[in-house]
Order: sequence, then structure tokens, then C-alpha cells
Amino acid sequence: MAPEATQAGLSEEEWAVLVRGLGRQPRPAEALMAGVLWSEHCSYKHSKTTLRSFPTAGGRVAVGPGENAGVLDIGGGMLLAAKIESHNHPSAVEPFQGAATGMGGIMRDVLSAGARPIAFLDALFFGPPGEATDDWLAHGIVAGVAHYGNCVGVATVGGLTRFDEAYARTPLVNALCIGIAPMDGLLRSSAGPVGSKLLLIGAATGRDGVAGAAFASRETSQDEATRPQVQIGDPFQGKLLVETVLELAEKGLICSLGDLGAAGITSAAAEMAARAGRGVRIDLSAVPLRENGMTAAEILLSETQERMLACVRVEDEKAALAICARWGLPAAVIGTVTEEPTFHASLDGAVACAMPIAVLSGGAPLSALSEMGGQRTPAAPPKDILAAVMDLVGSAAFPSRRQVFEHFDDRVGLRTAVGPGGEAALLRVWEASATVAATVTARPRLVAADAFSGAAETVLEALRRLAAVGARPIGITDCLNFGDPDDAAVASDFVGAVRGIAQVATVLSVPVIGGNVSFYNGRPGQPILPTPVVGMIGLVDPAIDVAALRRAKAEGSLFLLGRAEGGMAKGLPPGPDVDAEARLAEEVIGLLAEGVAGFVKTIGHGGLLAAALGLAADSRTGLRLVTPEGADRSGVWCGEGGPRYLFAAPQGAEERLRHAAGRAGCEMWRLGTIGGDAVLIDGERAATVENLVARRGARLWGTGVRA
Amino acid sequence: MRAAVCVFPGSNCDRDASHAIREATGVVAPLVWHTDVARVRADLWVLPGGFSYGDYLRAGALAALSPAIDAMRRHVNEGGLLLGICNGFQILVEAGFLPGAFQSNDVLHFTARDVFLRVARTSSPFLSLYREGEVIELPIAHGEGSYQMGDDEASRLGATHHVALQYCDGAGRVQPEANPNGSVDGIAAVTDATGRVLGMMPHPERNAEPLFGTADGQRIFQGALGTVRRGVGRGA
Repeated sequence: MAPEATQAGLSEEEWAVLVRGLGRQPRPAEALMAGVLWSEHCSYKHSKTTLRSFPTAGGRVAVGPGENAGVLDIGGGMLLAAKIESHNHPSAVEPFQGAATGMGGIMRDVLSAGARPIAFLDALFFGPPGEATDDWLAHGIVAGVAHYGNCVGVATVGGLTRFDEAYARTPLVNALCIGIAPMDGLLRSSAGPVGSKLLLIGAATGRDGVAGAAFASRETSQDEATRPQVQIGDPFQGKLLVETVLELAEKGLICSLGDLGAAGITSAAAEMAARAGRGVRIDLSAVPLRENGMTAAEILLSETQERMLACVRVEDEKAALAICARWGLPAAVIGTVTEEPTFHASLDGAVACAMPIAVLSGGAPLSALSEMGGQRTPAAPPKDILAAVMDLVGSAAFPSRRQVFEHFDDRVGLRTAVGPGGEAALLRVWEASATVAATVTARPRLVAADAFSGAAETVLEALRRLAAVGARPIGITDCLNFGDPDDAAVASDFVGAVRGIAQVATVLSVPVIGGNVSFYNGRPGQPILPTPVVGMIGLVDPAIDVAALRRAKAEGSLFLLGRAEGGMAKGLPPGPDVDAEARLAEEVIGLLAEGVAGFVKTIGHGGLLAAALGLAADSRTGLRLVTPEGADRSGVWCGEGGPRYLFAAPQGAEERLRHAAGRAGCEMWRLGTIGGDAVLIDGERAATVENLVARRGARLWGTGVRA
Repeated sequence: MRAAVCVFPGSNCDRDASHAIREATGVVAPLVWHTDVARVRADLWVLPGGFSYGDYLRAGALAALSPAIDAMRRHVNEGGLLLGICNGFQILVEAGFLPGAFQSNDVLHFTARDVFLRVARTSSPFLSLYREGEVIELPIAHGEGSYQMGDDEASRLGATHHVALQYCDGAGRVQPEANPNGSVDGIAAVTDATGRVLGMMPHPERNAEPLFGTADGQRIFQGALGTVRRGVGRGA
């Protein structure tokens, strides 16, 4: 195998494809560019074939997967852009900057659509608290998310934080960004007319993160030598970039826009050219540099943050540069769009690259993954309810996540009607007279038990969370975090999980508008749990009184709607019953719109037990709970998954709740009453309110400062 | 009656301030780039929250050197009203409009949450619609919000400046448990001697509409612009 191939991270087969595509030996920069663009991170070579099963069109989709962010029509002349992305590998090496740049990267993806970023949600997975390295990672990641999001002025409105041995020293950081744009403000990445100029806007280019994408396509070692591949975020520059780009877009000075993320100038320019069927001619000596002596390949592949590439018409060049200057951002014309579909780049007159665009951006050979049959790993069902209470309340799953999200500005922008801690975040978009709902869900233990059903349940949980705030889904963005795809078991889980998401999305007619695949998570030989994260965007039914929803308190009696028992009683998640889920979700929205019951909780991680004990702790009240007659106690309290909701409502609402359940083909049970100073299950004292409140308020990490 | 919001590079609550002023008073407050301030006349200027100049050096330190600050000084000398919210308060302190200094929160991290505040003084246009001792609820969102005063500054309290709002519990008690950041005496907001300059760490614009709960923040803007209407400010 050619040593240049190894250096570029290309396999023998890929090298041969490259040489054949070029009809000659590649230049050094060309090999490195192909190496990065053909990496798993950029080319999705292991996943592309599998992902084709997602429904991606129809409904409100204005732009589906493939662009920087998916875009939905939310009515009233407004568009919503959304995308979720991982930043796992950098965060495992340098948690603060890894997480911060993850926020910046996903924000620029949304900005690329011409949308003003208005909200972040994040899904964070850490090793169990208490181990020094994992605590350092968790602290750094939370601080990094806060640093970028708070400073750039985009509210972090929701998310989840999970702890599991499977993420020890290999944390996952997934960030979802939502943006809005007027209908005529939508930008795409397809290059403008031949002769138009490529304008590089933002930070000066340095050697940071050269070939970071290739780094994310390998399993991580906490090696000092990989440290320079993590980029440094500057949210202040990011904020200036947002305002600059939006002003350029508003004034009609941009024909297309791309984010410089993975593979920097190479990927942004190649993508622009490929989408337009054109080429680019780039003069690398025009790129503002932060360091001396950078090679052509380094400039082409640098992943310096806070940069974007805009395509502007020749006549708009001056006006565009003036706007960049006013915001104090460096900007330079670095190239032009050409007729000939070639990526041409030179440095000080020396040609560094002259590759057909088709070879560079579409040339990576794909490999299809396959699913093995019968790969199911049942989890052990709980032995005893009271023991399960003890386990749950004592675990890291129970303490309030307030101590995480208190670090994040959740209100900036004045759009947050419901912020972190709710079933789903609610954002007012007054421009469209609409309220947008957004949530992220993940059920890795269920996916590990059965990839198809577990992933299906992950989507259905998101559906229920939206229903619980009166919203119907309009789009999904997913982040698929897995181990090494060359491991047959990992590959099988991946294919099964995609099948689960695709099936539920198809039956619900909710399109998948984009997302991200992250492989190679885990330490050698120890992959993480298969972790598909589902971000779901919805619209609140206009009949819902959002202010009343905000004020709703747990009072009266508790009711269980749907099914008596959750799945997992036999150690496996239930097979998805999407029709029943959709019908019940619709009834829940109806009950909220009628004002029958304001307080609804979904039943997720930890089952009904976790939902009820959490409610008791948060509302500082006791509960008297009774297992529905004839049902299996373990299935009722500890089962997870399936169409089930916990309602708090006045006693008089019982008949209407029963009818609503009946219309959906489901049942309703009165679970008990709210009040007292302890939680009783079938007369047995499970926990005192005092203890629950104390455990809810427990610190997840010792801060060494004020408790 | 005119209000305007000054935008520094890195301001991020500028639109929010303008939005809240319109919701609370009907006044349309334009966003004015910091180098253009001298060209715009208004009765009320707002220095909004955010991270001006990325909080580099110290929060507010670089914005305090902006040409906007000279314009603000003339504005105040001519009887105008000036409100600094969060980063705007930090800028007012750095620029010497108000005494004191800020440290990192004693919890050592950015903190975003609702707090109770006791209204300590009502003889300021901004606070004229509150009752003295009233307990209101507003959100905070800051990393460097621990307000400190030197002994010399504290000794001039009442002569050069006044405490306007203090962090308290739901019953109005100013005590350490209710102090979210370690500010001295639970100070959350101060005015200058005239009451026409107010700096506050909590965000009144984030609780100025009924959707967000008590809408307690409305009266800051209504008081300021209502007072202008009655002829206290320059707009009369």
C-alpha cells in the first residue's frame, strides 16, 4: 500500500479508486483532501446506504437531508431550520472546547440556511459521577456548552443528561440547534453563477484542527498527541458571524452559504461546487492566516472555528466586504465559481489541487452494513418494587437536572415559553403566530436489548413528550452514536435502530430532515451502548393555552392513560404499536386543548415509578398509589415503553379521561391521590417526601464550593 | 417620548430589551450601533445584556471605552435616563457611572434562574411604580454578578448612590441563602444619586409579559417612560 495512502487515511481500495478517478497519481494535498472528505465523518460511507430508508420528504419539508440543516415550513411565511450533531470525540479529549465548538458548529449549520439561531437542546451522556476523569469530563462539557451558548446569545431550552458505565471516559455530546427565517430568506449551499466570488468570512485561519474529521473517524485514545486536533471556539466571533451573515442575507448579498466545519475550506467549497455542477478556483494566498508558513493542504483542511464561506455576485462584492468590516470581522475573496467542475487551488502560484469535483465529493466507495437476526439481549426485570424504588432514588438518574441546566441561559431571545425540565421545550415564534415544541430523547439500554424496538420506542417517546405539551410532530433530526461499524454486532444494532426510526417515522408521516452519524465511539474493544438520539420538532395546537400549561400543577388524583403495563417486564422493549400511539397522542392533545387536565407526564426512563416519584419530589407532595387490578406490579411500575401517560386531574375529570382513552382504543386507570407526606404503593410506604426532595436536590458532582 | 437600545459587539439582549419596552409601553425603541449613539436622541437609553466584546479582559471593561459612553455621559448630564441591564450594569460600573465592581459568582459558574428581589428604593423614575419593600420576581443569567463595594464607596452610600434592589427570599428577607452570587448586602441593583441611572443584574425584559408569570419587570420601563411623560426627563 502506498505510504501516501496511509498518511491520508485512505484504504488500499480507496487509494485505487482515487488514482483511477484522477487518471494519475494524486498530489500531496489532493490525497489528504480525499482522505478527509472520504472519512466516515464526512462521507457517511458506512451509513449512507442504510439511511436511505428514512422518509425525508413531504409534509412541511422545505429542505431535506443533505444540506447543512433541514428546513420546515411552519406557516405564516416562516421557515424553521433544525439539525442535531455530535461532538463526541473532541469532547473526550478536551471537554470544554470540544463541547463549545460542538455548539458553534451546529449553530453555523443552521445559520447556513439563512436562519437566525434561536434555541439549543443538548443530549449529554457521561460515565457515572464520582470517578475523577468522568467528573472532569462532565464538568468541562457542561461548562463548554454554557460558555458558547450563553455568550452567543442562543437559549439552551432543553435536553437530557444521562449517566452510565458504558460512557465512562467516552462521553457523548449531541447538540441540536433550531433557527428561523422568513420564507424568502432561505439560503442553500449550491454555488451561484459562474464568475461569482467566494467570500471567506470570519476568523483568520490557523493550524488548529487540521484533519479533525479524520480524527473523529477513529476510536479515541486519550493521547496527548491528538490534542492539537481539537479546535478552539470563540463565541464572541460566532455572535459577530451570526449578525454579519444575517445582515448580508437580509440585504440579498449572498447567493449561497456554507459552514466551514469538518474539512474546512475543502468541504465547504466542494459542496457548493458539487451542488451546482460547477467548479471552484481558489487562491490560497488570499486566505487571511493566523500563522506563518502554512502549507496548501493545511489551509485547505484547517478546521479553525467561526468561519463561513459565502458565494456573492461580482457586483455585490464591495457591499458585502463593507458589512463584514462594520461588524469587525475579517473577510476576503478567496476564489471564483468556474464552469469546469474542478476543485482548483493554488498557493503563491503553485497548483496544489486540480481534482474533478465528482471524484472529491462523490468518490468515496460506500459499504453497506447488515443486520444479524435474533440479536436480542434481555435486561433483568426488577425483583421487587420497593427495592426498585431504593435503586432508582439512590441512582444518578434521580437528582434534578436543574444543577446542569442552571449553567445555561434558557431565556435569551424571549421565546422560551417552557424551558429545561419540561416534557418538551416550547418556543414562541410570534412571526408565524406559532408555538414550536422541541425535545430530544434517547433510550440506549432499550436499544441494546433490541435495536429495532428500542429505537422505535425512542421516537415514540418523543411523540409522547410533544403530545404532553399539546404539540404534533412535523420533523425529526437524529444523531446516531455507535461504536466501530466494522464490528458486526455494532453494525447490526445500527441497521436495526435505523429500521426502527424509519418505520415509526414513516407510519407517523413525520419526515427525517437531517442529522448525523457518529461511529467509533468507545474505547478499543468496549463500544458505547448503541445510542440513537432523536430530536423531534412539533407545532403546538393553536387551541392550547400555553400560559396555562406553564402554570399547571399536580393536584387532585393521578390517572394512567394507555396501557397498564410498560414493556421490559420480560426484559425487552415492546414492539411499536404506532397507530395506537398516534391515536392516544391525539387524544392527549385534545384533553389539553379542552383544559380537562393541565398536568401530564410521559413515562420514560425508569418507568411509571420514576415519573411518579419525580412528580412527588418536584411538587413536594405525597402520593397514595394503587396498582391497577389484575395487572403485573413489576410491569406497571417498572415497565418502560408503550403508549402510556400519567395525568394529574380533578376527580371529576375521570369520565372524560376514560372516554378519551377509549376513543384511542386504550384504557384508563385511577392510580391514586395526591397528598400526604409519603409515597405509598398498595399501602406500602415506598419513600418519604422529605427523602425524595433531598435526593432530588442532591449534587451529581462534588463542586468543592457551595453545596 | 423616545427610548433607544445601544448595541455593542457581543450584546445579545438588545432585541429583547426593545421587545419588552414595546410590550410594556408601546414605545418603539430602535437598536443603535454603539458608534452611532451620538447621532440619536432619546429620553431613555438602555445598555442591554450580553457579552460585549466577549467579556474579554473583564465583563464590561472594553465597552466602557466605546464612544457611546461619552454620549451617555452627556445624555445623563442633560437629564436623560440610563438603564444598564446585566452586562449593561457591568459597563456602567466599569465606565464610572455607578460605584463598585463585579466578581465571579461565588458558585463559580454562570447561573440562570428566577430570583426574588426586594425593592429598596422607589424615588427613582425606574422604580416609581413599585412599593418600597415590595417583593418582585425576575430572572438572572450571569457569570460575573457578585457586586462588591470598597469601604470608601460603601461609606458614601446615600450620597453618591443608592441600593435599588436586593436579592431576598419569597418573604422579602435579605439573607445569604437567598443570595445567588455572593453580592455584598445582597445588592442586585443600584442607582446614582439622582435615580436617573439604574444598573441591575436581573433581567426585567425577561419578565415583562404575562406569559412569563408575574410580569414584574414591566414597571421598570413603564416607570421610566411614564416619568418622562410627566416632565422629569429631558423629553418634556
